[in-house]
Amino acid sequence: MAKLFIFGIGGTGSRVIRSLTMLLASGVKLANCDRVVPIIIDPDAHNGDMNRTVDMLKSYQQIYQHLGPRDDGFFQTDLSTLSSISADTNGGVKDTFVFDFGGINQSFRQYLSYDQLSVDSKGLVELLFTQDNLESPLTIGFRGSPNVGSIVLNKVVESPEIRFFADNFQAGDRVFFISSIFGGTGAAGFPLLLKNLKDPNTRLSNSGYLRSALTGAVTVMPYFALQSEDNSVIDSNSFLTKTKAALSYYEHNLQGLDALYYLADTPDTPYENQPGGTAQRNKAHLIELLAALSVVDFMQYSDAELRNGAPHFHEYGLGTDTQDLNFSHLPDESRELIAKHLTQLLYFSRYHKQHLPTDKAPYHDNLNLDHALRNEPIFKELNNFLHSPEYGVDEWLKELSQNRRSFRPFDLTTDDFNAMISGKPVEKKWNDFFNKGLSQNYFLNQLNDAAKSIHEPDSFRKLVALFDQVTDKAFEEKVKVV
Amino acid sequence: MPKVLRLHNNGSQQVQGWQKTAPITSTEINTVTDPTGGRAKNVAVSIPTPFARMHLFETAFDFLAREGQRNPGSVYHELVSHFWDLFEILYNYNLYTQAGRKITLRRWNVEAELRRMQGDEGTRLLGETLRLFLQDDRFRDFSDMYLVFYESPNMPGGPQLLGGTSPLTLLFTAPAVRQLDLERAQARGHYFDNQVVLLEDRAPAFRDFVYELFLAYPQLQRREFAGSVFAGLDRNRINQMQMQGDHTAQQFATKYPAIADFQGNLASVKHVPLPSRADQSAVTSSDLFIAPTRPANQSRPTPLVLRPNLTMQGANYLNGQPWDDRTAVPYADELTLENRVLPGKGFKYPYLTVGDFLEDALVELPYELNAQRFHTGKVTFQYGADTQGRARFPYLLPLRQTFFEYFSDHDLAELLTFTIDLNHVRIALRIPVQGGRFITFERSYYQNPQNPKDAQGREIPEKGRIVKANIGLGVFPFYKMRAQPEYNDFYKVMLVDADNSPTMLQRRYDLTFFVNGERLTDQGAAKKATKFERTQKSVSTAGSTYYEITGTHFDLAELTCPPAFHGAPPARGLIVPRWRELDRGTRRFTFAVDFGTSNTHVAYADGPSAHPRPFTIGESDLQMELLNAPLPDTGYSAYQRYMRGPGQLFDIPLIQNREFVPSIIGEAGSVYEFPIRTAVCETNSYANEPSKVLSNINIGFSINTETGQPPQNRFVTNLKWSAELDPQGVNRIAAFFKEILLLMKHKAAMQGGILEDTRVVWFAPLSFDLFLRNQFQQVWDEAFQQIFRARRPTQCISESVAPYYYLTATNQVVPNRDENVINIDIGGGTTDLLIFADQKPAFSSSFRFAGDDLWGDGYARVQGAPKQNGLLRLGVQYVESLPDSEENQEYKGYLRAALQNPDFGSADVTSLLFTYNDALRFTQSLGLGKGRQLRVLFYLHYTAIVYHVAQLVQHLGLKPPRYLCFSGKGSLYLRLLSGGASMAAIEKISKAVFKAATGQEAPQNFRVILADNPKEATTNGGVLFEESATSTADFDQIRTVKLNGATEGQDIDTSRLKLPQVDADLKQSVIDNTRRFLDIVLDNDDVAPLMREVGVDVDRTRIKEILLREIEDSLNLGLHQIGRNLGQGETLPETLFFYPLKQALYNLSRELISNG
Repeated sequence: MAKLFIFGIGGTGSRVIRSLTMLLASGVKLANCDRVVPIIIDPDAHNGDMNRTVDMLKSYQQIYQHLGPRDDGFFQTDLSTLSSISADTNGGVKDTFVFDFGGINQSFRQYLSYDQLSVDSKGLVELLFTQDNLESPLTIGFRGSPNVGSIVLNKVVESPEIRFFADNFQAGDRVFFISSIFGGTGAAGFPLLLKNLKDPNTRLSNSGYLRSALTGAVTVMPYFALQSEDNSVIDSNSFLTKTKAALSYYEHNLQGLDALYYLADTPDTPYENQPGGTAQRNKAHLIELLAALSVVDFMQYSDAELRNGAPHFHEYGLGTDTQDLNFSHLPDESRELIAKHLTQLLYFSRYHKQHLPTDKAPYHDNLNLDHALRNEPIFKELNNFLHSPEYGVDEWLKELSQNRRSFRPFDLTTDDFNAMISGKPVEKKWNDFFNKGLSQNYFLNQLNDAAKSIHEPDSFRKLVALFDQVTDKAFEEKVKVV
Repeated sequence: MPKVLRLHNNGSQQVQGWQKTAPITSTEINTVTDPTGGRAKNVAVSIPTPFARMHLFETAFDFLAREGQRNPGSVYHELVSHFWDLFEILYNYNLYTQAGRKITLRRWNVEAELRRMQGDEGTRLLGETLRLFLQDDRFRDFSDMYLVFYESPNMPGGPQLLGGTSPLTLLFTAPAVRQLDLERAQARGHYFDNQVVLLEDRAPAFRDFVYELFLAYPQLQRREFAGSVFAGLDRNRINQMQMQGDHTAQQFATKYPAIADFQGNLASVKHVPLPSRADQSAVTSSDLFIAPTRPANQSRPTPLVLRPNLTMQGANYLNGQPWDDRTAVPYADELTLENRVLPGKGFKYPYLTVGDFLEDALVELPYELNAQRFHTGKVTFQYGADTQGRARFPYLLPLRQTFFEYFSDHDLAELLTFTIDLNHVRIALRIPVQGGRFITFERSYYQNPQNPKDAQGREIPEKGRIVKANIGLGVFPFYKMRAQPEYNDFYKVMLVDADNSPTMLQRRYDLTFFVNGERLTDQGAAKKATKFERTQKSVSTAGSTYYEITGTHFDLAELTCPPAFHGAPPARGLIVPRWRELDRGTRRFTFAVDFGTSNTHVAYADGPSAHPRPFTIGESDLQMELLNAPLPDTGYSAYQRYMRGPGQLFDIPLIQNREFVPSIIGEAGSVYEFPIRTAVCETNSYANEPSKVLSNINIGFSINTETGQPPQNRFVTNLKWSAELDPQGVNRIAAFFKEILLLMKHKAAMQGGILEDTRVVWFAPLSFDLFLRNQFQQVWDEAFQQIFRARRPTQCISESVAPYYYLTATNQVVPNRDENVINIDIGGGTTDLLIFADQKPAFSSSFRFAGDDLWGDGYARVQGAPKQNGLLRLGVQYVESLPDSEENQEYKGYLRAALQNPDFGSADVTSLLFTYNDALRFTQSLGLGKGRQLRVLFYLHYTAIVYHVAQLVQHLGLKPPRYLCFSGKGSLYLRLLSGGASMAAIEKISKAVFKAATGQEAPQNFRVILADNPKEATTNGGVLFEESATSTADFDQIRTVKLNGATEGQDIDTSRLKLPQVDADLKQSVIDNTRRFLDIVLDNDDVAPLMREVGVDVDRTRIKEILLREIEDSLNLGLHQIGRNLGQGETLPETLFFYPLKQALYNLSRELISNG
């Protein structure tokens, strides 16, 4: 049973995993693996991006665990925390995906135990790090200092989580790194972790498997700008300078990588400049979605394909260069990969929100939804997953549409299912009265029909299966192609 | 339109979705447009490795290589600029490590430091992380990193970390590096400022160094090592250099050795040594380089010339950097030249400032400087300063010896100017620098200068002080040979310290000598200067110190004056002689030295045909020059002018003449002339010291001019015979000879003599045995060969032959073949007879009956006898009776002093009477009153000799002689006896005595010849003597005869007469012979009446009575005397005939002067 371990490092790591989770929830398939184990590494315990991703992942996992393994449909991919894959439950491995730095309330200088160093090593430290590096507290990330991160994050290797990860690493498992090249944590953590995993002298177990494991990475280059404030630590104006410096380093220093995905965009809308802390919660972005797709792409290659001529380098091309993208602007491949699934998820979410609680119909009764929606935790979890204002699908889609470049495949303002896919209204045949395209009634009828054909005792599993089938049919029959 | 989501502009645009493309390499990175133009700070931190800072430098070089032109002010430009700063500092490691500045390399050993970090829980993470990253290929072989620290007194906070070594770019700099107090070469700001100074804008030598480094170590060119740095170098230049030849690491290392860390490990980066420039000649051009006239020492860098307030707008200070008029230059720099730090530049390079050339003090002498003989530079007088009489110049040069390391004394006239004003003296010293320019050092000297003080309260010596020095100085000799430097040897400098106020007694003046910029010390091998403190100064007398410079002349002497109070800095002044410069001579000099018992004479001729002349020193060939000028020619004799030159410092001429060498001898009214008393002046402790001529012993020229007992010195006479008696006797004689030879050498040198061809002749009395004669020969030869650098020996001639030779050579004596000539040489102590038969010397005899037996103290040879000699008493009484006059006052003084001198005997004082005969008119007294009685002594003395000669001639069976020739200083009394030049009366007496003694008639044409200059006859004969003309063998065949003195004379040698054999009979026979002699000269009617013809007016009976009473005692005294020095087995040295007379005559003189 092959696994994919995904290291999502820093804010970008969290955000890309969020998009990946959405894709997986929508039913996008990951080839060549049975289980995905995301490991989010962020020393900033209060990072907004990370926290909502973690919440969402927990939500997804509960849903998946209730649904169980399936070949198709929503939530089909096994997304597991580290602890869940272990038989051992002694509590050493936390159920969260976050690497906890245990409240680093120290300056980097203190963290290094600078005072205990020899005179010459003190000199070395002074030579390698700026005063700013040394004096900054570590609690708010590495302040755009990957060189500091390269040391602090090395602590991760000693964590029970990483040891556990290594203990459970098996032949055939793959590793994928998600990080941004600019800024702080991700930039430092990715090469560092890669180095540790591929280090012939590593103290991690299964080092042979680790060294031979197929390894991919997406490195996200600047795609947003932070609003510049005087004396702000993260100076987006230097993003490109720093990116170029880091890229030069990557050119020669990423040993052991089989596939590298580069992704960048010209920054446009400035983000609010918040160096870490809860305030760092950025709107979901197309680039993150595309980065999530790099994971899908990576998994589509067979072992043989990846090993042949590695490392492989990848870039992403949009079909059309526009600031407002819908499905038509995506290249065919991507569109084919996600358009249908996302549309299904949208229909599911919209119907779930607007009609499901109020439907008076046989399927509703059959599933005892009146009771379940109000009382069964798993139904509540689904509700959260779809509609949570923090991490829900609706919110995600809204954010994507509001960003620059904006990704608005859907018109989120309309209740008319026919008009929901931007630039691709469902054709209604006025001469055929019964064919009204997609309407609540269409879904209602379909749901009632399907409820009869699916034999599933668990009402939650049945509900998800119903919507799988109905939204699939709706797309195939009415939308056909986007 | 499709859009690839990438930053760069390269590569395929036909990308749809995720698609394989190419890696992003530097080529692609190049094309990424950075809106900030690479100006962002903190770029280092964006590289995800602890070694980000190292990688950053590689990135920086890459950046400059690809878009340096487009983005000239980027953060990378600054990094690269700092990189070259660090490189250049290390390149100049040796140059900048100085003056409190330190550049230190500390080794960070990877293995040891990592192990140490990992061993501690707190630092384990850092250690492990570093180890992880150090495993990268690019760090392979990077076993040590070297950290570069910089420390400067101008930058507080201790050592600063500048950077370290890197396996990626060789070096990298620390993020916190601050601007240094060190200017970049070529004045392009300070190191680590924010100016961008790339390699191409740096010093060519440094650029060459960098290129050579990359060629010598090709591994540096590789991308994985320092390829990024290499990429920025000029390819054309690399190719060119490669074509010009191999560049090996070995060649490179000799030129640029590796730097050692503070523990002495040689620093390297991945086996490439970290190099720096070996030599220190960083300053390649300057308008301020000194332009010396002496050949510069090539191994040392040429110093710059600076001074406070130097205004030289536009001048090239160094390496093209302009001089800034505001640069603060100190008046003096305490650091040694090679440790100095250039003002305004902060790195070590020698420069000269005012204090190096000009002293803080100006030494003023109490007299006018002898500007003829010592350099002064240009001297000008301000209006008013020269009105008080004539313009006087009493200063030493306030220059430091350093000046003469660059310039010679010949430059002084052009470069040095004294301006003498009413209350101060201004010195201007123009120092030539490049391009015909001069930098003028100026300083004014005041009696009591007021100088500003610096922050520490130390005086800034803008103004100098004037310091008075009561000293005298003499240099002997005062010439140097241009072409024969080997003769520039043995210079003597007399320093008279007359600063003898009570507070100054313990403080001494001192001299230091330099030649060719080198200080002469007493440790030198070939060249050295030694010092001898002779007379200690006291309240009553000045002190004297003598410096001896051997193996060279000296260019300058530095006088150090003792400070007026404790702790004050001593003042110094330079004395720079204007030597007479002599070329190789053309004339051949012959000197003859008659080293007599009481007197010594030196004669010389400067060619074979020249007439011998007495040795003199005149104004034209002064051998000794004084620092003071002689008085101007205002009617004084030259002697007086030189004597009075020192003005009030009377001690100077006193000490000079006593301990050193008189300025003028034998000319121009000098009281010093040859023949001189045979005397030395020596320190009281001479007997216990090594003998050093002109330091603790010298010829006692002044023996007759002392008015008092000389302090801390004494005169010693009677040298000639002291060799046998006194262990120091030979040393004294050697010292005496040596000084005589020095005088002769300098005479010959200054008169154009060929020194190595100089001939020196000296005389041995017949009474010298072979041993003594050899001893003298050796002393003469050693001194002669040393001083004249000649190989030939000196020539010794029998003392008695020389006068004959002189007389015949000058045709005063013309004997026929069958005529005998007897030469009688009467010296002070000895009379030598030489009997010529057939014009050849045939017989000789010698006896100690000579001048001293007239003028001396009889057998009382102990010095300091009461000087009771009657003739002396007569003279003294006469002198005392003379009315005092200005002229005789001085000489009366000398006389009184001599009388009180315990070292002097009667003969010494009488000699003085003769010396000053002109003033004291001693000879006059001998013809008046009691003088006429005392003249009987001359008569008896003379006739005793003639009587003895007659007996000798008879004994030898010879015919009576045709000529009786007299020479020797002792014979001068013959002139007194004869009362004039005519010897007629004496001839009569001689003939009568001869007849009475032997019964034989002297020839009709018998003549008594007294040589023109009897004392000079010997020396002149020596000068005229030619080895070739007369066979020396002739002289070896002379037979010595010594009659025993008895009535029937027997030859002592034939009879081997020894002292124990002198029995009563023999003594009686000698007494009988004396009685016979007295009968003849006092009673014989053919002889005695002749007394009147020589002015003797005495009661003959009384005289005879007195003598007969004395003769026996006298004989016994004489025998006793020789008995002391004569071994039992030795034959008697001389006839006994004179023994009864010696003491008898003395006592007669006393009796005659005291009674009636």
